[in-house]
Amino acid sequence: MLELNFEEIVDKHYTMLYRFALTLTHNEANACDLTQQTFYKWATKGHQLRDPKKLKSWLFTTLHREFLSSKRFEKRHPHYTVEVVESELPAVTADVISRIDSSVAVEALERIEEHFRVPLVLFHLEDYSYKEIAEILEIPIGTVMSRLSRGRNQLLKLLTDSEKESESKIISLANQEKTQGL
Amino acid sequence: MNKDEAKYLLQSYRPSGKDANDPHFEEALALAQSDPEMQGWFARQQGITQAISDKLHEIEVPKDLKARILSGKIEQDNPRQWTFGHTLAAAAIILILLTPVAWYANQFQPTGPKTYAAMKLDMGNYLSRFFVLEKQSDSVDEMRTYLSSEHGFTDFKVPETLSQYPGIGCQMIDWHNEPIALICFVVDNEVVHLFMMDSDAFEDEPTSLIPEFEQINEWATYTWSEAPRSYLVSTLGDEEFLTRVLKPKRPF
Repeated sequence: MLELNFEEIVDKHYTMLYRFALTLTHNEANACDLTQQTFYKWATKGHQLRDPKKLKSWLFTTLHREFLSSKRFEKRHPHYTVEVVESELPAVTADVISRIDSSVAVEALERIEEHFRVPLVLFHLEDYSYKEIAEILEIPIGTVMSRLSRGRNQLLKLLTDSEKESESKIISLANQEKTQGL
Repeated sequence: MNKDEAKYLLQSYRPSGKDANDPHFEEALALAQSDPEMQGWFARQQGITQAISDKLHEIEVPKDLKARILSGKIEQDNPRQWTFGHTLAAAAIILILLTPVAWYANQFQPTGPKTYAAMKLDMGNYLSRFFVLEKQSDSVDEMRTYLSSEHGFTDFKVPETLSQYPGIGCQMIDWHNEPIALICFVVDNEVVHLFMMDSDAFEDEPTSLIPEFEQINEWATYTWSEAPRSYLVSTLGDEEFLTRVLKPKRPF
């Protein structure tokens, strides 16, 4: 039987769960709802979990399930997908990513197809292994590896484009200042 | 295994090194170490993975989210584009109110004798469970009115140092047939709980007007008495935090 303090569990996990939820829902209020609903599920059904080591993955699995079941109620929104078929990863460096604002990184993630995005976020946010991601999302290991690879490809392409766009804005602003004699 | 296959596999390799002993990566890692071009590629990819991870960890979390989770409150006044949010909120609230969960959450069986010492332990146990605040409000005045009109609980003094923080809600608890009022506040993203009861309800109640600190398991607490009430403030944390919040150098 688990003897876990509810407030301590919330304290330890709500930040990461919220971040995961935000990358799923693209909306702060919905991410809050999803996080709260996950802890509500824990409060009412958490006693069924026998192994305390599984608590974190239980919470992530529950949040993901809640998100999937919510999709039945979600109206279809236009979804921008990026098709990247190159076998080589886009030429982006860690320095470039470090310079990017976190909101830009989140926006880029939002534009990735959901089934690629979710494993990607679990991998980068919580340092989950491909095996753990397979367990949380209840999909085969091979599928996780494939989605990680394709999702990463899409993300790097978007971040590269975002960096180019931001550079061109700076150049264009500099030119504008020059012509105005600033 | 050729380079493309190795690259494909290594995209799932975590920079934290936790996968170092996973046989799944063994051959690909060996290739990455023996081939200079692969070595450079792998180092760049690990750097990128770490950089993305760092970016995700920069996402800010709403300051009141923890308090909202702990209060069982689901945001209702925020306009939504997503119907599910409302459905979920309504369903959760209705479930809380109507199912045995609510009954269980708000019932409280004493585990010890009717003493102040036992009460303090039990209040810690109560807070450790998922409980539902019967009145949710951020206003002390509103909660005061509620406790008075719904439970006849009056004549209490919320420390000024605490009342400047936003409230979450309040609750009446019946412990050994003694009414105990609970008001919860959010302070620096932590929840601080104020319990109030009759000052002569228990023989071993504090008599000092000056708040006294006591660490009870994981709960930092201050207790004091000012007739007709005695007070217990508790929070998960340490003495330094609660002292900074209450500033209990003199009677409240």
